[in-house]
Amino acid sequence: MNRRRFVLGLGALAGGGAATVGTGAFSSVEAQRNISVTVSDDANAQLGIQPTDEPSGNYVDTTPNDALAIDLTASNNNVGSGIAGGEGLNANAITEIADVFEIRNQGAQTVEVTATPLAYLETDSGAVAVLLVPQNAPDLFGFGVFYPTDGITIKELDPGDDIRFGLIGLPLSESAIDSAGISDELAISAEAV
Amino acid sequence: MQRRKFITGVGSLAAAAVAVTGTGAFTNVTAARNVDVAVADDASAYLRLEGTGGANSEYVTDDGNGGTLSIDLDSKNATSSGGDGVNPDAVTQIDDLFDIENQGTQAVEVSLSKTGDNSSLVKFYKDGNAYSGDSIGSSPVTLGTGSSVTVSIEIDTVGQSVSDGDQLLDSVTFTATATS
Repeated sequence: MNRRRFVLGLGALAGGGAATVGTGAFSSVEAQRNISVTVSDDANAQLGIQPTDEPSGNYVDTTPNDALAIDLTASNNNVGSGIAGGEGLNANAITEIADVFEIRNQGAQTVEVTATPLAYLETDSGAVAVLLVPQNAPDLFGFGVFYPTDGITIKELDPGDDIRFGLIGLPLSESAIDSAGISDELAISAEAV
Repeated sequence: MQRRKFITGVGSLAAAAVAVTGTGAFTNVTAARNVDVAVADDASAYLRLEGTGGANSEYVTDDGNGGTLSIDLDSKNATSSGGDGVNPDAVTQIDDLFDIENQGTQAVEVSLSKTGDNSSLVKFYKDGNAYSGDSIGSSPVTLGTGSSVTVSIEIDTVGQSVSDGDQLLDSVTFTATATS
């Protein structure tokens, strides 16, 4: 199987000293990313954002610049290899997929991780809802069911720990076929605590 | 969209312009990742449900291409020869109506549940089991990735107190669950 691991290398170059800017002003996010993202550079990347090594990790693909992308469409490059031909969610159905991707602290210190949003909804032409589900959140939080749709914050993700995500897809009507879909972004941030 | 802040990781670029904390560890990483999800028709979705297009395709009112699988054996879908339902006190078998295929990433066990006034009279069989082995409703079918079964149905009204216009089956829910 085409098992690739993609890690976010934004932190990877920081070994020589983390830099801070007070204003947050910057001229080009894309340029920074292109320089910073490395492939299979687990040894140095601080924050790993990667598919799981389970079969459902195939629902993750990458963008042309090697950033992780959750892709349950015909465009996923794993269709025909890791995915046996499926090109999307069945309509009028509930699809639950566990073990899709994970965020791992591969740095040296405990970080607070935020992922937002966890709920995606498209209602323009038919309706489809997708929920990202942090599977091991109870372990991390130490209490039971907790499902914030606007985003999740893991207060303390220790070095070596990961938070694993699955998803639930809910196309609500047949009219959603080949029309309604999610094309959105998940914002992930990690900050040392 | 939420403003993204990249406040680390570009030490070699930023060194000339910004202060360095000197902790030797990353302070903040923020990244946006694409989430793309499509809704597919039944013929191309992760669980493929598609009419076979065979001799009995007249009973299939939606073969799953562009929509969701639908089978009608009633007056709303009378055959070209005028049949609009199954006989009372008879056994009707219809071969090879549709396929179920696992187009996902791991093996699944497919079961089904039925709703309708007399749904127990309608049974679904995979090829090879029709019409003597276990029905799919009583014995789920395991499908590896890329594997499929062709489904035939049997309607047994022998000795049943059903008559013209009575509903037998209204809908079927297919459930595919990963085996591992």
